[in-house]
Amino acid sequence: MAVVITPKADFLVVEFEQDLSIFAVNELFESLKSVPQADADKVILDLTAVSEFDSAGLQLLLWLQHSAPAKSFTLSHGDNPTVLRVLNLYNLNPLAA
Amino acid sequence: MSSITPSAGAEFFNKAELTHQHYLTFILRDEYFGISISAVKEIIEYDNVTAIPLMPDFVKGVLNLRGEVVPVIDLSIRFNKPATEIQRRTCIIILEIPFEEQLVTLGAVVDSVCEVLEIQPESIESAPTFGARIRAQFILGVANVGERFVILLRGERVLSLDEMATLIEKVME
Amino acid sequence: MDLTQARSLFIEEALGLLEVMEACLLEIEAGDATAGQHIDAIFRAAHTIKGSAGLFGFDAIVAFTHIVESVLDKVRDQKISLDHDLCDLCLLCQDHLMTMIRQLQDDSIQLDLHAGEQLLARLHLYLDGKPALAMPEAETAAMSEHWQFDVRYGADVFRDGMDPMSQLSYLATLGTLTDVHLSAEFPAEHFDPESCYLRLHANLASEASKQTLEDVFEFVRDSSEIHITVPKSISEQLAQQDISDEKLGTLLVQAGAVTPRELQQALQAHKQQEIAIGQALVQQGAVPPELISTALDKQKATEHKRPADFQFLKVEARKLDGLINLIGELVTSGAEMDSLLSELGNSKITESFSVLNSLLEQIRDGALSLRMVQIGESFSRLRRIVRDVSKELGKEIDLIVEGADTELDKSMVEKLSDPLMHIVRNALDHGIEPTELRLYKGKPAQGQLKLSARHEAGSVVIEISDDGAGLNVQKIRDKAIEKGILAPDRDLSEADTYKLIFEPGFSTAAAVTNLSGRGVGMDVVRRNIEELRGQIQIRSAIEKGTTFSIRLPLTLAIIDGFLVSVADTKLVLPLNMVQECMEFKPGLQTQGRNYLDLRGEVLPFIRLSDIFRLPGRRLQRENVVIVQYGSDRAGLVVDALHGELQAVIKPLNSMFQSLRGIGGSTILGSGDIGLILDIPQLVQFATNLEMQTCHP
Repeated sequence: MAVVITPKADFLVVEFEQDLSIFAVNELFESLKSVPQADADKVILDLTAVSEFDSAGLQLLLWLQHSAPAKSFTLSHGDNPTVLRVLNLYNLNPLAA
Repeated sequence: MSSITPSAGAEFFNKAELTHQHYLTFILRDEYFGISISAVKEIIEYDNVTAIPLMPDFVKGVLNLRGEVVPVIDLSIRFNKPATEIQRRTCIIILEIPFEEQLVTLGAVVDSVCEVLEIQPESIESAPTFGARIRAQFILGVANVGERFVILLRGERVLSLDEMATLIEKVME
Repeated sequence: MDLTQARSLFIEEALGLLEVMEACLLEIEAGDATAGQHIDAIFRAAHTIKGSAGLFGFDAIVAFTHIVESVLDKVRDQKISLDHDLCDLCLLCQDHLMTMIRQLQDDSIQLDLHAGEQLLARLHLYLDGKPALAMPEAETAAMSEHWQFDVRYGADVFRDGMDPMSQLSYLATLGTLTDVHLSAEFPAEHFDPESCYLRLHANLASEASKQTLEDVFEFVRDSSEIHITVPKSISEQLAQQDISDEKLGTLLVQAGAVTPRELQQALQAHKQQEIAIGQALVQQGAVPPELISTALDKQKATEHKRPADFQFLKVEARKLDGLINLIGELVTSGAEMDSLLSELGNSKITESFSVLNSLLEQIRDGALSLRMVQIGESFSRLRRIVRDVSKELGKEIDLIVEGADTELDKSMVEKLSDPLMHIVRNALDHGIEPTELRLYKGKPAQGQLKLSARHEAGSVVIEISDDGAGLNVQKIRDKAIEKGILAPDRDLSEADTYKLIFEPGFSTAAAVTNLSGRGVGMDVVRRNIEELRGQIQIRSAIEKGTTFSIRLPLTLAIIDGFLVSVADTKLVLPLNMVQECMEFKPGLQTQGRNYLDLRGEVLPFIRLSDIFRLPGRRLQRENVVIVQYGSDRAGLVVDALHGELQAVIKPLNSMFQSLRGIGGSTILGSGDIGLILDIPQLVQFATNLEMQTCHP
């Protein structure tokens, strides 16, 4: 599994494993399709373990946000340098944008 | 072994090869030999040579040179003479012999090591008919140093790995 | 990293990817996997090669791979099916690419350009037509103090191996980026995660020329809409000039606001439409849809394209070998220390050292495991051979592979590939019968070839079995006698007769087809295996088939050994072959012959002092070590037993290569040299000696 989705009390934790790149987006997309329909209105995206992160991966996260406009997304990256590098480059605040 | 004629000796003699002017001289059975110091790595006392089973006599065995396993060859036997008797002054000259684009380390047993001499190419003569005692192809030339003759050897021929391997193969059969 | 290094890395990676591609295609072709299971991997291989080749400007490879990739993409979209013909075509393309890439390394390799063109022509049949390139719309951007970038990335950008991030990070090196804004224009339905919907907005304060900035987007230029707006300062400066249009253009180029190509295009537009040149340039939007050329130095930023599958660290083999050698020395000096400490008898130090020693052992094992690779790589090469050869011979072969994940020292895997290939060819050529014959014999039409690898008691066992005709003992015997390999009056057991096929000169010209006889006989196979300290055995049954069984040590560098001595000579036996030791009592021996009675079992024994003719004093007491290798057992009679040790193998000088029974040497803790016994070879040697004495 490239992603682990765990429903908690009133939120959803989406934990990404190593690969969040063009080579994994198809598989991830399949797993993430259910997220917009989920009951929880808060979603925590955990990128702490991600080691491959590219624009395609980022786009997938943007899509997730786009397709669930009512939900609030929080990004947890645990100071993961790979993730921070991408976010800084694109001038993105951790998913506040 | 081919018989040695003066013409065969001349064929092996080539002044152009004589660029190294320093030779380590040593004694083997009362005769003086020299070998270019460019091939000489070091000189050690004869000690702790481990025999290898089933080997022909010219292979004395192997020794541990700081972690490297180095074969030791009795030069005297290579020259068709009786085996070198191990005495207090017996030495092993550690040589580096080119083989298949690599340098292979080998040890040669000699009775004693003398000195390093500078020998000008002009003073080296081709080996005359030296009897049939040492194969002409082993000899680079002969130099007259002071009162005595020094036979200058071609290390890569005397310790030719190919040839020695063939000799060992014959013994194994 | 310099360019040469990067280049060789590329070549290595590309060859690896092509191997993956080949393995996948072969599995699909054989029906072991569906196209759906593997198409992604195949596509990815082609895609990555194209991307990397582009970085180095290997245009021919890019162009060729591009077409291959386009066809594969259609397969992926299920527009066409990966049937037998297409599989075959893809394999041919894979071969062609292999040659193209090898050629980068080796100029002597000839590339058949004509064949390449033919392949391309065949590929084009699968492609209906090319997708039209999206032409940019004219757009006027607001003027500012910065260069403004507005890039609407094309849908295929990700699939082409590009990432907007790389351009952005490169821009960041050219000046100061501000107002970076990433947005996405998602479709209402059918979001495809591999399509790119991104739009990037950024401002850049930079001294760079427009050409430089345009070049940043060179790789995505033909798929994306790129608008680069000139800083206000430059455009204002230009606007003040009252000069003819053509001169303005030259000035624009000089000021770095437009590139010469843009100017030329604008001039053309100007002639046709009679509009001002500056306006023409703006309208043009500066996105020429021509094919891109490549330049590595501008594209350092695309390095991230490494596929996620390759979670490996590439290390120079030389560095690794250096490390393993050092660890070997460490183990040796550990042994030396150990013997010194036991003399000292200080229990605290001894105890502390034993902890150190066990760590050392772990380090050794870890270091050795770095050299371990799966044998599957070799097997997949064989898969290709099986396919090609069976096609050529018109035999149907079902190839079964087991234990492809078995690990083995890398240097061994390399040295194994030739002998394995030879045995496989031999089995296909001589072992498995033609289809008609098989049907006549009542066998299934499809012949079976099985490759298997497994670990067994510290060794790796590789087996190649076929269900063919089996070896005919009488035929081998006759041929050996005919060839003068065997004396006509010699009796041989079945197993020994099989071994005759490994004798030099056994393979005859008549038996050598262009397949199995490429100038090497089975004697080379055996020699290769023996050089790896391995053994090869044959089992065969008439009409049932033949099995070649190769047993190899796990590594070539260090062994766990058992030290014994005979006279003054120290000998090391591979510990995994040692079964038990006991005192050698005359009572054990049976009537003067070289057999001993081990709890009722009759066991041949070898007196090492005799066989090695070792001089020196003979001790009163002798010991016997029972060794097992493969399915055979024997006793070795030695003088003293000294116990276990770790031996770093030092190969003996090449002049000793004909020496039988001794596989190498090692430096013992005392500084003495121990000789490592090669037990199978030793037994063989002893058997030969015995035969010579029995049959003078």
